[in-house]
Amino acid sequence: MNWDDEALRRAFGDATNEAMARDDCPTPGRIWEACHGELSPDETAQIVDHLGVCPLCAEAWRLAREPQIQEPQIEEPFQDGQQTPARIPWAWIGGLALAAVIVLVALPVLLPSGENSAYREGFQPEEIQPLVADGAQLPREAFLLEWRGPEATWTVNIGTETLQPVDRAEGISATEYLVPEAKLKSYTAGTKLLWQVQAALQDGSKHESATFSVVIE
Amino acid sequence: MRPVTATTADPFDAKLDAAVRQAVNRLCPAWMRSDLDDLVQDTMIRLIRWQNEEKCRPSSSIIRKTAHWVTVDRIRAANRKRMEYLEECVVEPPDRTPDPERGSAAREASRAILDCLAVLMEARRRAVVLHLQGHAVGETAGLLGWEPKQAENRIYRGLANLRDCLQSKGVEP
Repeated sequence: MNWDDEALRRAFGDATNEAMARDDCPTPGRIWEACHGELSPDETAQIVDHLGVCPLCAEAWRLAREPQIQEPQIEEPFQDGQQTPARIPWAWIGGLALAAVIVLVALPVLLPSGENSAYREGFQPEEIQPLVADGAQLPREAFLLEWRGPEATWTVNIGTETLQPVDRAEGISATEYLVPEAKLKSYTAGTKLLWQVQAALQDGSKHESATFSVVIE
Repeated sequence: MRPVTATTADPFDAKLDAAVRQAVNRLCPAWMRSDLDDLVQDTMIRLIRWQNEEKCRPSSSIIRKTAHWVTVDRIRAANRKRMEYLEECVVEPPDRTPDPERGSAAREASRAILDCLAVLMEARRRAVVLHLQGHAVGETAGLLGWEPKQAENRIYRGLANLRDCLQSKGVEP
């Protein structure tokens, strides 16, 4: 049996099975860029030299190049450069997705006023406003979230910046919620948490606020 | 305030989730399929952060690149764990090859290929590595800034050198 291309590629690919990680591996992003011709020839050559001694990175290059499963091209989900305000996908946070209404909202504090007018169409920010300053530090033993809004039954969602759920409370009639200290024990001082409230009005409609932030003192 | 219907999920979420799942599905090696949901979640987290910083929605290219990054990071982490296991245990853990009987011969061939690549001339080695990675002559030329004929010569001469080396070692495919 001779070493045809298929045999050579198979043997080269099999080297990943007992490859050892190295300290000089480029980042996956760098490998992706080299594979897709986004680096200069000299930069690409350096990466290729590394592939010759690092089977794990050679595998990363092959992954960047080929799909594992033959599927139709990924449909472009959005128009290129489609503007959007910063948002937190509350609906996607594991454990918080319910049949009830939870949708993405903007983080207006991150944006200069006046931007993204299309997203804010119909939005009247003065209707739900936090009474806790954005980014304020709260003691974990008195982690009181307060807001101003219409007469409603409220749902409060609290999560981390990495989309981990912290707490959720429903059926609140007051415009304040004291987060139980036990819910915060896993988080260190200085941790930034995001919170949002949702109003269920007497006419059956549901409305949500923007996302606000507080910090554990 | 933005009214929300009782049963409508945000269309942004659904589109992004579908695109991420497709990208991760295409990248995930067979031996990591059990980690698929984790890969999707990690990719989503990175994309949300990217979107918050860039103030625009990610294209399919960004989605694929992010999914690739997350997958490669996970592969590297699994490799580090495997190496720690090898250092602590006498018995080797099961490897990733589907056919254990072929494992021994495959290991020998893989080591030999890497040894033989190391002794090739630099330009020929680069040409052969990209050829082994599945790139066509034109792609190799473009990536390394060569003329196509230059790339072709280096690939064919490099492969000849590689085969000679493997034969001299007595290694069979």
